[in-house]
Amino acid sequence: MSSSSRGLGQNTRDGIKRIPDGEDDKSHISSQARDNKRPKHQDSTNDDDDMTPAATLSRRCFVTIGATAGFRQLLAEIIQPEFLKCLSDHGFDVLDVQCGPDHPWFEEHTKTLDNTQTHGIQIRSFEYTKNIQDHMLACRNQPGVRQAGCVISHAGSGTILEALRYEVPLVVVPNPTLMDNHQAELAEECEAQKWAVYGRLGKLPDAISRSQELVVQSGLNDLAPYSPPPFPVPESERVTLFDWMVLTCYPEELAKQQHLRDLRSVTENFQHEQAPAGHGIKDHGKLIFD
Amino acid sequence: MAPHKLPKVVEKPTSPDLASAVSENHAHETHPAENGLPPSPNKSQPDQPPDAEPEIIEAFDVFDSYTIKLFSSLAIVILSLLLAFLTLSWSWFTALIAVLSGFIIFRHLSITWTHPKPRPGADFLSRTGTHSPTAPRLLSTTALPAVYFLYILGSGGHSAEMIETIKQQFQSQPNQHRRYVLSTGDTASQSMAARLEAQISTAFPDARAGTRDIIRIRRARAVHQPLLSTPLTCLLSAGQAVHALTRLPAARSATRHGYQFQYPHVIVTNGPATGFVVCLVAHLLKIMYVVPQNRLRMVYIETWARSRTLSACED
Repeated sequence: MSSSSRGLGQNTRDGIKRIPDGEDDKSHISSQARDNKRPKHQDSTNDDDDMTPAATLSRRCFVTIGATAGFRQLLAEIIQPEFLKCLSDHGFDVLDVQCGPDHPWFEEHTKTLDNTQTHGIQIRSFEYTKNIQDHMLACRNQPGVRQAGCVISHAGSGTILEALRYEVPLVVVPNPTLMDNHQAELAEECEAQKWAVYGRLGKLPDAISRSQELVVQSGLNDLAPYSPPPFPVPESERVTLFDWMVLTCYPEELAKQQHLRDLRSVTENFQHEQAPAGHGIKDHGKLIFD
Repeated sequence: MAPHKLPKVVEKPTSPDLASAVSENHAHETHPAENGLPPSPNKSQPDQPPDAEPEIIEAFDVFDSYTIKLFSSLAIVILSLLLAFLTLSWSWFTALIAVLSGFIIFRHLSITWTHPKPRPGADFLSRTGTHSPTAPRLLSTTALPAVYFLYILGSGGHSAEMIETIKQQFQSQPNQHRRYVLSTGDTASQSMAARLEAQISTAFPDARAGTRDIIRIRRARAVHQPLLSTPLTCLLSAGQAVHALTRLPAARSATRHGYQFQYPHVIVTNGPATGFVVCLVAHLLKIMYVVPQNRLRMVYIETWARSRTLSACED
């Protein structure tokens, strides 16, 4: 049956193993997903990947190490066969890796992997990118185009903020070689607040499953297309602390503005006091809700 | 508005318009055409249209008369301290040091005790503080002669949050100047700042959103630098921080209220080491009476990533 990718889970339990046609270089993707959360359908939606239109929707995993330190342990883990099998079981097809300084090492280790070892996952890697936004948005759910993927990142606050802003499922893996412990604290806090999943090295497949559960819980599988927040921020939302600080540098101006505000509130109170003299219920009602 | 006391080292640029503006401090909006003007010929930068890339200035690239006077006074003070150390007897020297320390402590306390403190629950601290969304906000800085922010962009994660903070509080007004302080070798923060400024200039072309520049200062301590040379680099970094704090923006030197832009009103930092150095230097400048009390107000915004400890505790 052909169903849209909204409301995952309920409409795929017919147990029929579907093999989408049009798959050429991918090996058979098992539809016996342990979590039943992946709908497969045969409609001809175009997605923005280089997949043929009749294939299932793409699901991408993006791994980012960060721009400062290397994180070879994580890179070693994501090319383990267990992890790749877990990815393919959950319906992922592409693994994008931003390797940082360990890119040559990573390339050397992945070019020897053949199709059975990668379980059909296409692995792409690069050292750095100026445009991490595009890579993250490719993991964001878009009904009819792609499913909610996963972003596995180091526990840098900037990366986490970006991933949360783009509403992509996130797994945070702190780097144990960094001396400061604040990465681990941050990851724990994210897990506690249900913003992301705390991924521990050695237990990444488990983290992927938890991340997919979190997708359903947080409703990340039914999103409108991403639109960046408006700039400049609308006036009612703007933070004015800094204006106050500048005004304290000009005390006469600050005093004048505060005086004007007091005058304005006095005038408003005066008008409210004047209004109810001899008017009906309609005006009285207007007063209350004004 | 009473004119604030300027330190006597401020040199007015060679513009005839400014002479008439010295005595008056009217809080009216400056003419937009003046604010985006390219710098006057005695500066080293070439003329640029206001929409070009924000100029990236290395600290100490140009010594205007203000900088020369400031640093020569500092040099005189240090040399005379050294001379006192060498010539005076110990008791006199100890007395001198005691007097200086007492002075510094007294100044520090008087500055911190007279800080204007925000009232708890004041409406500028909350995002939707006014009772009705259509009423004008209380605080309006558009009529001030100058609004000068200094944003300190340290390493990567701190810079990204700082850019977000800037976006949350940004308001387009022509009397504004934004200065970004980076450390050398930090290309990520530089590209972030350039991107933000590009976004601002596309949204508000021809300097309707004010002027801007970027200053690079050297790091206080590079990674793996031996501790022996650290005091020297710290001093150099502090000196460049002084320059970043006191250098008059090139785009403002020729304007009528240009001298109002001599020192930043607000310094915003969220925790990198550069921030600590710049804020310490700013505090010392206020203690030494180099900068008037109604400038260099500092805001420290703790990064959201610190749920238990403070950023300032890291090295």
